[in-house]
Amino acid sequence: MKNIFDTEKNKHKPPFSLPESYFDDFQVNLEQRLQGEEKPKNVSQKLPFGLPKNYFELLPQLIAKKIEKLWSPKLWYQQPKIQWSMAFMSVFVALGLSWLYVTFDKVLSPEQELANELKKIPKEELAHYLAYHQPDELMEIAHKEQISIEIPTKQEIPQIPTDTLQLKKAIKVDVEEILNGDLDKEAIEEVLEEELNEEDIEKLINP
Amino acid sequence: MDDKELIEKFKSESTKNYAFNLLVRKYQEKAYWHIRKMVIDHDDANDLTQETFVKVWQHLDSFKGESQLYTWIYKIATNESLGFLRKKKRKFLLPIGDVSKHLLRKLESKEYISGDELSIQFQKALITLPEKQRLVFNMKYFDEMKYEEISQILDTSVGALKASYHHAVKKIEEYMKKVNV
Repeated sequence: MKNIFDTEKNKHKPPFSLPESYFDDFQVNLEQRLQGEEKPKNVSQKLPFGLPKNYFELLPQLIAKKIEKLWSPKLWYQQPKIQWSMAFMSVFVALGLSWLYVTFDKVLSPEQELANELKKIPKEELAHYLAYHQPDELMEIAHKEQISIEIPTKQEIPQIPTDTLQLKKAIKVDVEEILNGDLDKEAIEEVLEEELNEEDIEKLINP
Repeated sequence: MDDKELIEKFKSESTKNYAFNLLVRKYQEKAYWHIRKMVIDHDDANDLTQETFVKVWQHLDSFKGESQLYTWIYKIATNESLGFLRKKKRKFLLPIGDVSKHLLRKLESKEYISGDELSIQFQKALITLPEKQRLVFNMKYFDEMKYEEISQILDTSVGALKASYHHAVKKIEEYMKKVNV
């Protein structure tokens, strides 16, 4: 029978090669592997890690501090539950305050409301109205503006009925209602002073 | 002072702090280096070492002495390291490979990294290994621990640990050959 493993006689050698002294080291390598003691080749056991100076002298203190912090009795406000509740309450209060700010910003004081309404009325019309319905207030304003005036009689003033005022058409608010409302008289004067300047009043007196 | 005595002193209120201080001084370096090899960065290793000893303080009273004290501490340090790496993955929604990238960046940051090219390449090769293989390799190769001890720490059979170590060695050799250091 032909021996196919007789490589001496076999002209067709397998095209494989082996590391140097493979079979000499085979047994040792196998033993190391079985024992799990093999070591990677061409490496260094040295670690490339550095440390801060005196690190291991200081580490026990750091650990002791950490433990002390964790185990020291906590004051009531340091309790996590209390802290969470306080955080929630703060958020709630902050939201409430911002809502109030937004809402109240839209609510005007009666004086501001009056000022806004009066701004919409043509000044001439307002002056006529005052001369006709509220001569005392007109006098007061004139006095403050240091203008000597004589209020014309009702017959002398071209009468403009209140309900034909542009104001009523435009903003659907009766001037009378504004002027005779519950508003503080001083506030009305203040607004009127702003609205009626010297020229307007003089125009009214000497139409 | 041996571990048994340390534990007894820790259990007594009057000598608790003294015993704990001794225990920290005895095992801090082993714990630190074990963690550092896993997380690479010094600051992370520092935090995790502190956390490890806080846990030791918390649970030493209930330590039954079924294993050696230092394997118990290693187990805590291992869990802290693995927990940290898991958190990193969760935080950045990363697959394992990307945690390796993160560790590689730490290795290249040069912050408390001071080694020659060979040792840095060796660490890079280690980072490419799966976490458990890296743990086994580190404990066997660097810390020269017995498989029985590693088995207690990782709750894995000695046979599986040997196989894991063998695969790690082969992968490291392949990596080193590839980078041609």
